[in-house]
Amino acid sequence: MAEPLVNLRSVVKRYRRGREVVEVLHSIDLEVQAGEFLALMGPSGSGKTTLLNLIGGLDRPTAGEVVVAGERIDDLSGGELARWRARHVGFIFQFYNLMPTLSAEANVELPLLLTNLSGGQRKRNAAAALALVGLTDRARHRPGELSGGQQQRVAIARAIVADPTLLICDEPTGDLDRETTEDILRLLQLLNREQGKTLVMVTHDPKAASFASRVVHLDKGLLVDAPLEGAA
Amino acid sequence: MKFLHLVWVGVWRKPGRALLTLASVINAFLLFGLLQGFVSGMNGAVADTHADVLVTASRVSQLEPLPISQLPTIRATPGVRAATPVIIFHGAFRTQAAVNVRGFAVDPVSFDATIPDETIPAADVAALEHTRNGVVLPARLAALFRLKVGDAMPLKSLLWVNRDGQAWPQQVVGVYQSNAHDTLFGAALLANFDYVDQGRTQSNGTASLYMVRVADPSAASQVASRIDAQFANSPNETKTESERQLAADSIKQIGDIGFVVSAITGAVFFALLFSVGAMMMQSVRERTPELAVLKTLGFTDSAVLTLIVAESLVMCLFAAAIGLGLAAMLFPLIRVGIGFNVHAAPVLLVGLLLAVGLALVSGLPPAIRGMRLSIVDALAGR
Repeated sequence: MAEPLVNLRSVVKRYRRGREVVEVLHSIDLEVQAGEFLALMGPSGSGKTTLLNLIGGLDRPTAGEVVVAGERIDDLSGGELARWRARHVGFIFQFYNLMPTLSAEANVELPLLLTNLSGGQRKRNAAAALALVGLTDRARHRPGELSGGQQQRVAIARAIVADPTLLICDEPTGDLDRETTEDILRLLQLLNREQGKTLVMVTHDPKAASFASRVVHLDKGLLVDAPLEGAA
Repeated sequence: MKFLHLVWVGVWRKPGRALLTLASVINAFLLFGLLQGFVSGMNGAVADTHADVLVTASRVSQLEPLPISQLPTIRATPGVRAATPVIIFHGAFRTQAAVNVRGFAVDPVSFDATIPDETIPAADVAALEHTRNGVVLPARLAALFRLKVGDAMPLKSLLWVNRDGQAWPQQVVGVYQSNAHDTLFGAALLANFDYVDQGRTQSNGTASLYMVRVADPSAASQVASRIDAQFANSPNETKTESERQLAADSIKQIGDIGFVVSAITGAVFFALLFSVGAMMMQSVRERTPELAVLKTLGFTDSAVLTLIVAESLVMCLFAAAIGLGLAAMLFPLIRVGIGFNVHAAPVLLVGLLLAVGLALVSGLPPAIRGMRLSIVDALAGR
């Protein structure tokens, strides 16, 4: 079997809250294969986002190893981790987190500013990513001029424009209505199936999880594998 | 350059606030430019004076006349190369005001030998020598009054009444290009010493001061002491100073202008530091989630720090350039109004360096805050 794209070994994460130390994740072992679409489910406070942050290199574990795309990222320096994220990970957030002062096109172009691409090439790549999410005609609009679904599409375009190895999605449909939610999930599924992107998605919504190829449950910081029901 | 757009939209994130901040920075640099321009002109005026020219005036007062009989003694003083008598002849032309023309009555021949530059062309000095009521004018003054060679110029002197009436019926015999660096004679009307001395109702046979040219500029202070020693305890004691010292003393009579200007600009920039710093801090605080997103996308801590400092730099330099540019446009007014020639380049350079300093001091604290931002905490709204 091929080496997993994401490999977490005995990962522990503790936070200090005042004088108290809280262990959020207890010795997590998790593998995600390349090309997989993994949904992480669990109740609030179960540690889903913390786990996602560790996989995406936004945070470091208190103990254990995090290997992603063949690189052990838990012992990288801050600068190395930032450069690693720019190369390997695309992020999609619940509240889109777009730059309000930039147009959709400029938002999508942001990750490319960290590459050596020319200005013209950056514009072409951003336009292609916007076309992929069906927003070519909204390229000049600012986030405030777009609907929630359109903003999330821009965020998806921004996440994929640098062709990352892994897409990290934190409740990507949590702020959207039912119809838009389905559109976004189909788009994510399309990226997984047609573009071969590996996705790790945190969600509360069983319907959203049903679009994934595998669902993993977290409860009180412990991982509980569950059989997938009703996968699309 | 590829980050410039990101920096620029950061500056204009809140247009109203950005405009108000820019206006205050522009205002501060306009004030800085004008005040420093004034000080620079003042210092330049002192620095541009002749190193080998001494001015001998009465020890009692600069307005107290000295007898012309002192001139041969001064000329015979060891170390003196040439000396010339001067009557201060400031006056008014076509105005009810007391003075609108700076003027001196000089002896054309000895004047030419004493003043060591070519401010007044020799031909004009010669024309003055041959026309008893002749005057030579700086070009700016001639243009102002639309006068040319041959025109009559009846002048009222502030100090001297013509025994034939109030006005001095002069005739323009030369127009010369003003030397902006010659602060004493560079923009002054020159009349004929004998004409004024013999025509005035009082103080005949005296000079307001003597200009003395020394053979060795490094021995100027010794020559000055020698001149004064010869007239010590006489009814007409003298005080001889270098032209530079005289200029500096004249400016000091107004007060310590350099200190006043530094105090004013210091207070303005101290206040400005807080307002720009508060604006930058507020701007960064509002953008905490956006900065966290930039870091999430792969911007390093140092890149975020650089972006915020660059915003501060762009804003301060942009505003400073406008403020200093406006000040530079007003520099000619300082020249016209006060007579100082502003050395613009050093003032503008210091202003731009000050803008960089302001940007760094006001931009670094919020930039460090942005640099230290924890992505996880910022995205979670903590």
